[in-house]
Amino acid sequence: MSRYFFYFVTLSMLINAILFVPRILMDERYDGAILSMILGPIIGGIFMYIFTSSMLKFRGQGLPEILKQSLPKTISIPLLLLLGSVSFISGALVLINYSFIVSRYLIPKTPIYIPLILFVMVASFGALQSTKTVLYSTELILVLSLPLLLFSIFKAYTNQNMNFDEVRAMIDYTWILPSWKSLSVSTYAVTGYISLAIFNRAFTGVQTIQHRWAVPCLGFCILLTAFFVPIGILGTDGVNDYIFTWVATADAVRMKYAFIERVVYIFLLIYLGISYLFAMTTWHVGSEMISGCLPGHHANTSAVNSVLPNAICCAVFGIGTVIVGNWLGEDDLFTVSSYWMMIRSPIDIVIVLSVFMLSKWRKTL
Amino acid sequence: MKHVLVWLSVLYLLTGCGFKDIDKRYLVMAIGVDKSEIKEKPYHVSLKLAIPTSQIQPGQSNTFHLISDDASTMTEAVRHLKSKVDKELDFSQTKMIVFGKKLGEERLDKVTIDWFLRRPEIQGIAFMALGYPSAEQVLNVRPKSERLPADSLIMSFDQEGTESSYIVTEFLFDFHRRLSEKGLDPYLPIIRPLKDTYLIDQVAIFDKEKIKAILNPEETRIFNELSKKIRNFDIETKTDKAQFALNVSSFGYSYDFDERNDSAPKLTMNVRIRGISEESKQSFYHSQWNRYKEEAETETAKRYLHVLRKLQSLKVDPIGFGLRYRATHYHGDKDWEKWKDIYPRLDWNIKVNIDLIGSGGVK
Repeated sequence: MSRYFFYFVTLSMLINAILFVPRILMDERYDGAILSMILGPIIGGIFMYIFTSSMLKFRGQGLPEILKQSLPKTISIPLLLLLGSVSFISGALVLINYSFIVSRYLIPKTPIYIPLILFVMVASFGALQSTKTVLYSTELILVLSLPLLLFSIFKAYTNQNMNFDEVRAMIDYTWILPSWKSLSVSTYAVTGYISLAIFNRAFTGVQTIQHRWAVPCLGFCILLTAFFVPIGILGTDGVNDYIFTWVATADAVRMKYAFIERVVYIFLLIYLGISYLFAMTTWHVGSEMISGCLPGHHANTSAVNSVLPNAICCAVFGIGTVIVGNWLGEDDLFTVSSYWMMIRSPIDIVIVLSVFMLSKWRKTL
Repeated sequence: MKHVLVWLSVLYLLTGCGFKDIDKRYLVMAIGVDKSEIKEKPYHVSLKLAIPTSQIQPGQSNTFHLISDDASTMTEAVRHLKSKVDKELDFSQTKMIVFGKKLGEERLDKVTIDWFLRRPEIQGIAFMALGYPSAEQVLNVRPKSERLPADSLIMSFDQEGTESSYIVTEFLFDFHRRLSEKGLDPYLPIIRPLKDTYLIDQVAIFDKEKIKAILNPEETRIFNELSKKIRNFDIETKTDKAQFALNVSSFGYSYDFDERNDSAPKLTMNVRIRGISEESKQSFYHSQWNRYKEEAETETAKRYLHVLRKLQSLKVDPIGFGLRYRATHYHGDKDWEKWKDIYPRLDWNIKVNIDLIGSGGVK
């Protein structure tokens, strides 16, 4: 079961590294973004270690159960509501961001709310499934899309227009202290482990997760790729002109003899799957957190009173996503996302530390 | 019944899309932008529209429709051009962007290519070129062997059909990158229309704004070797002692900066070439094979030196020595300032090493 941990962690790395990280880190590429990419995975990795080992002590329990057992209702319910909304919002931002890309590149004449409504419906449907189903589908979709993604990244690295001199010229700017913004963005890329707060329910037979050291390493590689490949292809200064950095990068890669010449369409297709999957897992986590506030709620049963609260949560947040996505402009999207990440990192730290404290406290009981 | 209702409601959402059938679209195969005579409307935009045919036949099915218009911006030109045709203009197949020479001589920078970068359906991997004397004339050529409109241009630049060492390829995204990169300057190949075909054997070198110089075919070839590391070229040696041509099978070079003497910075370049003799006035066997080789080496080095000196005197750097300097030195912005000081007085030390692997079919 423990391999599923790596799926949702990798998933959130891929999504954040390619949708948000380049745009925000590119703005600060001369001001410490590179050092933040080294520090981010290390900080994220440490919190990941603390969080996973404390969570696994509560065998088969999700965060709602843990909080209910050990904290008074007045603290646990607001906390769960907050965490649930946080999870929902991060999924919603990805959906909005991807709808922007889709409406720009694939269906330019369709208003943005149409793809957004369709995405929200599919994501909510996925999120309403049981925890195990959600985990199985992460494996399925990643197995289908990762080879293609790795292949297009390999093509990007090896094509003759990738200029490694540009990458080497950027390395001059490594030893500059990063700002809080770029540091939190880099750390955010490794925060997929937070989903274990709900997925721990399915990890019943797991004593410990092996090879956890791979998570920061993987995060580091994905961040470096997401940052340096666009620079090598679009130029150290030219890269700043593009909004969707990775879409522009994929557009600059061509596969002469593959089934389609423009890699950008393969790339968009892969990211369709991955963003849907990300939204599905985060919304599943969010809806389980929020419905965990209700007394007598039993997760992962098909009874009406266990599915209905989740459905209501997804509906409320889904409608909210459509409204916000329709109302946000493109420039707002990146301001909102970068502020979001700056708030998000402290919240994650609070969750990790509180779970850590609870696991210590439980031992002494 | 529940499912049917759900799916019906999904279908209802799909009606609002602006979908147009393929027979209501005009595929734009190439875009040409020229400098117009009218002062308020500086852009003269021409579009090469493909007329679909039921059968693909060389020289028959490349029927096209060329429309053009003057306007103050690209957007306005395209908007107005739409009123000249009966179908929706579709830019998703546009693979060729040609700028007029006059425009290049005056100003060809980010503002000019902005429209192409902003339109999402224009590919980043579209080929860019300069049309001489004008882009419109280039687009108006209808080659006899062409199967689809503008296909022969695309094939030439693709290096998929012909593999000529005179044809330099440039992509839209690469041109954009070179416009802002410190130490890497833009260039564009020049297309000259002949009666039924094209001649692409020159390259225009830009500073960040306009054409600085046009290299002649011989220099273009050397430039192509140096900037793209192409392999399929040949080396001609013509001295009093020897006269022969080599067909190159592998080519590579490396260089480093020698700054031990601060007043006379040097660039040492090692070129490695392997090739087979293709044409020769004298027999290779039982003669001074090595001497011929040395002749070819000095000749080649001279040619490289000529092109490099020319680029240096024009103060442009399309090969990217400046970028390499920035990459190999670790002082951030200071490197670039220093390079700007070094480049005009850089001394070239070029060593060519030719490996003659055979004399071809005959002695």
